[in-house]
Amino acid sequence: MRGTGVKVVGLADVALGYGYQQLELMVTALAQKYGAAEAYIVEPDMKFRRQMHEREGLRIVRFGSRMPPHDETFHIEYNIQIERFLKEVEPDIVVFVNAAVLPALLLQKRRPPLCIYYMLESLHHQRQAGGENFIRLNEMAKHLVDLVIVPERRRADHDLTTLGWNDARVVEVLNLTHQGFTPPAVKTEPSFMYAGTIGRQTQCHYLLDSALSGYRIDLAGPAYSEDANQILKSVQERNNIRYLGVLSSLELDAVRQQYAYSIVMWAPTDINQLYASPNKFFEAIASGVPPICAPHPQCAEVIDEFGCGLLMEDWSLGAFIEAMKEASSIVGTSRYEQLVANCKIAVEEKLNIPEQFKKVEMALEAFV
Amino acid sequence: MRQRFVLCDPSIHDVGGHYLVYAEQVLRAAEKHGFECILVVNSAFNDDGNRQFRIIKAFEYDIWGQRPSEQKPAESGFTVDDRRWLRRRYSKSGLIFAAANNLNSFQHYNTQFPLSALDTLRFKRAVIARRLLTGLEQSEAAETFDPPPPKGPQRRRWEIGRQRRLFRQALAQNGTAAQQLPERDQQYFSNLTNMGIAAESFKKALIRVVEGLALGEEDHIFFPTMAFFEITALSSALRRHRALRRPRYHLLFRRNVYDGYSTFHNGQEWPVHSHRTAFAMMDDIRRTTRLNFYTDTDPLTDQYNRFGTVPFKTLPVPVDPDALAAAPVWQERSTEQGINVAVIHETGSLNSAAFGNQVATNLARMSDLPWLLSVVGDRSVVQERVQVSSKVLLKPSTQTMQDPKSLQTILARNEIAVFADSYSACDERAVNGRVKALEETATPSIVPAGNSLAAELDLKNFSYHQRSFSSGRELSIQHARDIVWRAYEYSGVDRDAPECLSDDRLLLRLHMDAYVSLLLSPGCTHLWITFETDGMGLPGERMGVRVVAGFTDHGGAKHSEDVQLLTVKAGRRDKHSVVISVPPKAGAVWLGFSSLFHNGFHIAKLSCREMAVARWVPATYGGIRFLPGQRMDETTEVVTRAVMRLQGELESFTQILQDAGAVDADQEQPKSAIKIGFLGDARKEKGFHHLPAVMGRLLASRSAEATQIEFLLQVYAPKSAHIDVNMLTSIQLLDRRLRSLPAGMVSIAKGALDVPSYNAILKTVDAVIVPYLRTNYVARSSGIFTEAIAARKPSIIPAGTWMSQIINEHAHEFHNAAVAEEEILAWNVVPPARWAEYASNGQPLTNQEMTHIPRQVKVRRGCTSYTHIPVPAGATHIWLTFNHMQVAINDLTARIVFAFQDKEGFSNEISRTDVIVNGAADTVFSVVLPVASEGRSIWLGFCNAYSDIDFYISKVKIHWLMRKDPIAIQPGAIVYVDDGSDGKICEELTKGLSLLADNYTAYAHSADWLHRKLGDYFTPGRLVEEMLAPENAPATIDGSTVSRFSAREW
Repeated sequence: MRGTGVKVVGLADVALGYGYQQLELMVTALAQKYGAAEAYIVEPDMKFRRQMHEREGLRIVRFGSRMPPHDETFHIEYNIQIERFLKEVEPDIVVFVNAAVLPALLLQKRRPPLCIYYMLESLHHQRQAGGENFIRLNEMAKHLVDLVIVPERRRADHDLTTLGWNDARVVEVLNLTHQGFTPPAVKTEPSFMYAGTIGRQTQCHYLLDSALSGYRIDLAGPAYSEDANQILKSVQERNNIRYLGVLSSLELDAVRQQYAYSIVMWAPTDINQLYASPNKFFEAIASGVPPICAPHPQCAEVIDEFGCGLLMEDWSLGAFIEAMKEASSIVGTSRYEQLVANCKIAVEEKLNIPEQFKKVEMALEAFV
Repeated sequence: MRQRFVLCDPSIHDVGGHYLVYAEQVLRAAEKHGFECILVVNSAFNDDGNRQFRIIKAFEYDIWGQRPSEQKPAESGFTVDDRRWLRRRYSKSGLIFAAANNLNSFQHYNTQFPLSALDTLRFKRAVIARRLLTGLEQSEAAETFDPPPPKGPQRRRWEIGRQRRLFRQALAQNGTAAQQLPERDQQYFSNLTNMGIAAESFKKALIRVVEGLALGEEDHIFFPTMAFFEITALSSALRRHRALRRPRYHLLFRRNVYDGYSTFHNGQEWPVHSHRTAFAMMDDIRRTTRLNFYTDTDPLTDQYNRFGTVPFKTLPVPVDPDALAAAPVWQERSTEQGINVAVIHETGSLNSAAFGNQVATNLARMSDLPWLLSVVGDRSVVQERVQVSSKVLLKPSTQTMQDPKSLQTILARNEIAVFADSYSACDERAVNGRVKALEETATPSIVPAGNSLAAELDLKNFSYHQRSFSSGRELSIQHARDIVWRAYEYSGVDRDAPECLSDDRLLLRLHMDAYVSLLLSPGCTHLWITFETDGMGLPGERMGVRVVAGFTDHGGAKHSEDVQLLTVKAGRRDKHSVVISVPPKAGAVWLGFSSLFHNGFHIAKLSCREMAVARWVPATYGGIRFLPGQRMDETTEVVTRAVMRLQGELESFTQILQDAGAVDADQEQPKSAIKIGFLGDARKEKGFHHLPAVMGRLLASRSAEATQIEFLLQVYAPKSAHIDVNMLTSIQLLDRRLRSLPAGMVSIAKGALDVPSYNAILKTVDAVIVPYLRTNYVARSSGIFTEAIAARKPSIIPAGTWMSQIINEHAHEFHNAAVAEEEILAWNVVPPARWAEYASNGQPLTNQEMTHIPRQVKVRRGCTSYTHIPVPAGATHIWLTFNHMQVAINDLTARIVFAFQDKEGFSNEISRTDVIVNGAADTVFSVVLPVASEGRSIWLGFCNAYSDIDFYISKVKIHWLMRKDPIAIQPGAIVYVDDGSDGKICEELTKGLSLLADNYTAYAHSADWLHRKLGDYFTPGRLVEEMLAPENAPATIDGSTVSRFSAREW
């Protein structure tokens, strides 16, 4: 190892600031733990995501490509550049999130002393992004990985069994991005926010039901598909629903606290959706905005433990309407205040980065 | 050489699952006919080494054309080939090759960055090569039809090799690129290729098996689940390979070819034509090969015979009665975390947690086993969470001990129960409840001597020991009156003690043992000591006997000591018993008796028998008694040792309690709760997703006084390459539902079950729920349904299926046997003149008679033929019988509406019950329903339930019964109406379960009756007999009667 001090590198497959913050938070936490001399995040240059974000304590290295992201050539070019970078830096700790950046790691002659697979995306997702090639890359990587961090252990259980990684050291770290609780404003009127991908897969069409016409609901998020556009078109015909467009994480954080509730649900059409570990669920709790949530197992566990939200009985429209009715009826009452108070308890006791990172620290005790 | 019976099932790839169970029970039956039995399975089979028969792994693909080996995790690894491949791909050349796949995009994004001349040339060549390559990939015929290697480094090497070979071919070609197929056509070719590979693989495997075993004319090959691509492969193999034609083939088909009822089959001839042709191609092969074709239900046989190709007959669905009989009672325990111990402290104080902590600490110190202790006490107890070590975990529980069901739930989850209170002032009913809970859950216990629970358990010692020794030998008997007694005082004085014995009564004192020394007979394994109490003591007074046995070896040296404690009930005359195990090398024994609590009481008729018996017999019934110490640490030490001792003999103690439960089971007690079992995976087709809603509805609709309904569910989502998210979602919803249900209402058996566990559940439950998707099971068999019949359990099944057809076919005989002549109050044969029709929109079509055929009633879809009949005074039941008239159709379904009204004329409806019956044309249908109280007349209607043709029924007859006991509507099952929507199905299931719970005895008797009728049919022995029956032998084929078809494969 050249120079002095520990070097930590996080390999991202998307540009920072758009999507998950988990990787940068993990790299920061590891850098702090080991007193790292240098901590890097490697990110790709992506069209529509040009803004270069800075992070305290992290050096962001951006690699450009002539090709658009998610293209095969982009993937190859990006990995060629990462490979060169890793050879030059010789990191002590590498954190990567999926197979998109594995080729660069696999081709290293020098294996990093500590390699962490922060498996934020399931194999199903990775297959959709990169085809069978990404699955092959996962199959090749077992010898490389010292620790697997997963946001949802049930989903990971399926994936790791598929890969034959039954003896891998695995830690579940909830998909949090906040350090602590931010007290919300006092709410006296029921208001609801949905932030996320618009479409039938997130059951946004439920919001259009006439039974909910009396509730103020705001939508924010990208609409990629035809049916998403149809939903947005219908939204325009409703007086009670507003579409706020695509908001960045910072913008979302700023507006979320205006609402009494945040809606979190995906139709359980595949294993990713069923075993969802959604950022926005935890973000809502951290903002003191109780989530109304479909019974995704991890979300249900958290709500059962802390009473910090409302759970739908199942994924049906009827269950959603019942939950919305209940939510609406308790705003302004002590029951709602208790929900908000429980959000604070949840964040202070468990749903914060330092608490979650303790699990990683315990797992890392095996490594010097 | 012995005749061989070879069972081939390519779908057997694991030791769990129904296929292997089926195969092994059939082979056991075949073995009884003198065959040498061989099982041929999938190449991915995980042999656990416990198989009864020779296993040959041969087949690659299962009946769905999938490769089970693909479902296993890939072999991981990073090889030299992998590195080379990565190096080539993630390089400039690789970049150019990738870019060549998307010329349009590449050109757009690289306009400002022109390539060098060399790179441009390379890029152009890459574009051409890539197109050629894509064309070659699609048009390349497989050089062989061998399946690719298993996933992992081997597969990657194979794929890389293929890619390189095609790439070299592409580069070598000059000229135009091969045309690319449209994507949809690519999929068709891919499917054809995959099925071709699967068929070829099957053929090769079969050839290897037959030639490898050198099967001959005396041998049989049985395929219990045949797929259509396998038929084609078999046909091809039989034509080409003479050796394959020697054995006799038995081919069983279990999946339907037509969907729905036979009246809809005409419209499905095009989709099934290829299946028909597959069998047609077998026809001429029957000239040279003995082939038998089967299905396992009559409706399926009708479907396959409809093809008019080869003849099919029906074989029974086998259920192994011996395995079922040998199954233990189900215990809901998980030993994933180790041995589970419940520490139950009834008086409820801070000490319970401290006691549990101390026991946990001791166990961690004394034993390497993993323990999981649950401390149970009153809700008011303050609990501490203490993790003593990684091996011992303390889990405080706040369940109250006042609720007997609560205790049962706790015991069901633990292997050992420790009752920690010395003074349990429970009333008799509560104590009996606890004994019952221990027996029903077969949980051995550690109980303080002197405790009322100990007294109750010790009362059972005698009868238990009597049973245990019934198969043993009595070597000698010594009576107290014949022995010279001595006394050993704890102060150290050892003296003669003639005063101890008078009139065959032995005096027991505190702090003194009245003892004898006896030589042991060779072969003695146990000392069985019996005595009687004679009414001494005041009721409620604590009294107990301490028995000490000190063994010496043949040389007189001390060997070992055993101390047993018995609690006796004061003021009563009871027979008591205790057993001391004799160590193998013991030559003599010093037996001492003293009182535990009371200073001076007599026991009468003391005797000591030397017994020789093969199986170990514990000292006391149901567990171990201990004497609490003066201090808690003494007590916890004693208890800890008792736990470890009990754990060492756990299996024996558990079996004892199970046997005790079996003895008591013969006494028919009214049930306060019935347990409903669901077995199978959580697929939508199996109706698992209905269960949470049904449970919720039952909870809301049944009163606390009614017979409670509990569930024992298998919760299982098989892992496969294609994850069924619906299953996982159903399981998650069930989990959510469980939180709102009372403790003990639902027990779960997670995961795949081995045969003993599966049968244990079947044996334990009172009924089985089979809420299958009706449309899938119109003709298909159901293993669990036949298993329920074999286990004499009623089932809850959907109407309009093969299952309900079986029930309907036996209903008339059952009712004829169950109804006594004197119970028939009156009867009607409803004349045709009184039938009218009622349209589905609720409007009567006409009040005139609608049928012109004498004594027949027209049954149509969409409207109801009805009549109105007064109910005779005193009638308690209505018994309806009728026949179908449509001879050619065997699966007609009739919906019968029983609507009781409050007056003789058309008036207010009091209750309505719909019953759907289905069956073959020669069935006499029979339904018995209770008359609604206050019912004065009945509106009785018929319509076609599920198919859309009109048919007639005849001989409609009504018997009015006056009987006090309930009677099953149909025998052995609740047949619920499936109207299609999930909500309606849940409603019907809820009603059906309530009906079963409220009339359980009647349905249990009817299930018993059904078992007597069908139990001998649904057996592997019967299946094998039918296969081998002489009349089943394929006839010598005369060319003039066969080969109507000239179909040939390409």
